[in-house]
Amino acid sequence: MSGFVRTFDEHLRNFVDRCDVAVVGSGPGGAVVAWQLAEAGYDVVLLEEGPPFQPEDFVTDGSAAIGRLLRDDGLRTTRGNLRMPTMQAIALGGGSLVNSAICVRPPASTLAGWAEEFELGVTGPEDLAPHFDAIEAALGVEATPDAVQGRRNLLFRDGCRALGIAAEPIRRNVRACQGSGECFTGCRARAKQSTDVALVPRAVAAGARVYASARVGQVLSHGRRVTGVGGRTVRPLCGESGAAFRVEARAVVLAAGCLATPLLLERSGLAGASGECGRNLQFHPGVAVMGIFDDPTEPVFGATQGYHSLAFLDRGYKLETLWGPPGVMAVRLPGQGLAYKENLARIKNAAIWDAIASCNRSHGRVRAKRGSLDPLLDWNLDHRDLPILSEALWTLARIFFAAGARTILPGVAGLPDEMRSLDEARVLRTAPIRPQDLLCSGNHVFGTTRMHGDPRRGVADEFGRCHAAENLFVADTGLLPRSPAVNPMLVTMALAHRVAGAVAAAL
Amino acid sequence: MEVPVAAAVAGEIGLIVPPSARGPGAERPAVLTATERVLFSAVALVMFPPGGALARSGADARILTHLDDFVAGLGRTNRRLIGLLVLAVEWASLFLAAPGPRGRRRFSRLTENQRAACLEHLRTSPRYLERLMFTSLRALLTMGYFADPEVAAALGIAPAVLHRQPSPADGLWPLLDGAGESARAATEPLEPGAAWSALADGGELG
Repeated sequence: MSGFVRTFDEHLRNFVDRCDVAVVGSGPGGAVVAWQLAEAGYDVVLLEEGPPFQPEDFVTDGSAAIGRLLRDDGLRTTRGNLRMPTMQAIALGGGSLVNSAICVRPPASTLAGWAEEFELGVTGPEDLAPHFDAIEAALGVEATPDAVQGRRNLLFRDGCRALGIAAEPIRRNVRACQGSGECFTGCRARAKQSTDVALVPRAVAAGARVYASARVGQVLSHGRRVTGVGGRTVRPLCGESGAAFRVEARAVVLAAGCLATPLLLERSGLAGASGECGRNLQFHPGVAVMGIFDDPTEPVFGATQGYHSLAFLDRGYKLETLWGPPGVMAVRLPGQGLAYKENLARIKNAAIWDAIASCNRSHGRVRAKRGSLDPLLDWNLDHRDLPILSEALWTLARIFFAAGARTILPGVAGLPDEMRSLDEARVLRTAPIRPQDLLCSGNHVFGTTRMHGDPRRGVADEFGRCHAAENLFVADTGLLPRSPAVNPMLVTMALAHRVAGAVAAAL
Repeated sequence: MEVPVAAAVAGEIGLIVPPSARGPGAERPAVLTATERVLFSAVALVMFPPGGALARSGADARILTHLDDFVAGLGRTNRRLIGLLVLAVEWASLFLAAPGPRGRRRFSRLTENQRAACLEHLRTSPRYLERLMFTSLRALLTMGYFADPEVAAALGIAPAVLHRQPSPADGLWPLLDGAGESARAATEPLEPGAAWSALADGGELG
């Protein structure tokens, strides 16, 4: 039996559907569950609030793209001691549509730390290995080839080599990348194997029914058993409500994202008794440095993020190359008027490298705005985590100068706009830096429905089974109990792969 | 400069484009208020003057048209935030005391040099909120500037021509913006299967 993908214009009337499993959210977690269960012969309905995009729908203009692809018009930020932008997609494929396709397994030490601290008995590297293998095979994960690295990525490699820092091409879920550097605004080449491209079609071929532009507002339940989900369709790009729907299911899997799943649980009275639902909100705050070289770097060519270094994971940070919409990248350039234009013109000779940090002492909470499911993100960057970011900036500066950069722009308030030597850059390591001084972004978010072996201290167990109901599961980054030390997509998908098995076992 | 006068000047230099000049599919009226247009125009003149390393000015690049399109796509809350940002910058200059005579005026009434001084104060301010105002404002304008094809070409950042690869997702759903979506809905009426039943139009869920 072949399934389908229904879009907003086809949700002509209110509707009810019935299935074995309703999966809420089509990002890395939800799509894996839907694909696995559909191919295992279960009757699956996949609900996604965002619309589906074809490559022709993507636009390269940064502001237009973020407005179309991201929640809150791409202007969502944390509240707390800094306003940190955080981008969540609203599209079939979820975050996989707008991330840079980085697939890295967390280090064994991180998983061992999870196991010990959160009483997770079967979430070690060996336990998850078959799930990682399955996901990597399905997505065609492979190292970024040199041919599409582009100069700005290879300069990072050269700088690391000069310093003896281990660096490697990033393994990504991309096939035949053309090096357009457009991962964040949607892959016009359709090289990226986002879940809408790689997994949803497989789920549909196996019979899954996909309702796009369908916003789930509540999980329906009777006692300790959930009976399905209800909601309304929503017009793409404007949010206007349409038809009402109800999907009755023998099991429900919530993969609406770390910032939505806990709110759905709260609204549905299924948050559980632990008091942890919506808490433990964590990010990977990211800081970046721009370097200017004497020769053109032709930054628009090359994989969005092609090289990284895992050498400092035990110090709390991971280094990466980075590119994005030039208007966004330019935010750290100093000046105004003719001086600003002069700086903008230097973007042809620029490279930007970033660090994401495991700030495990910086916690927060997500809660719903009154009367809605829109999230408020209360989160503070703990001062004890600041040295991680300072050291990361300093290390990036070292790599830039080792690679031959003429000057660097770290974008730290209170420090010089430009630093022309390693001596000048030393202040990155020594100056007292406050959270508000940093241009941070936080696009990896996790922890709000954390798994824990003790039901009193977590929302779900390590198989995604919610403690509050018998047939309710979580399969998104909310499950991660704390930072995975690396980009969270692959580990989330591996966990979701295992959740699918637990769902099947429960049916 | 009075608001209406500034608006007229801005219109003269192309920062305000009448709706009819927006191109196909953009017939809607402008959504930026007069105050917003004047403020954005004033900042754009300081931020992207003619000449220098990039020949195009903010006016040439029609930043205001781009901003109007961007704001038109925002939800109500974010639309309000943009309005607040404009008001904050417009009135912050009263407290910043730009150099020269009559330096304590609304931003849009300052001279170009005084505006530049105000913006530099915001950019380098030790106060987080003031820096945030500057960063937000400049990011909005810069994305508009970069959206101009001639600016993109001059910077060597014009989007590449890509070979679109076939995928199992092709044809699985229609284009978002094109006629495809409604066309498919018209040609493939929904036939609820055994497990799919329709409620009456307008009915609410129980």
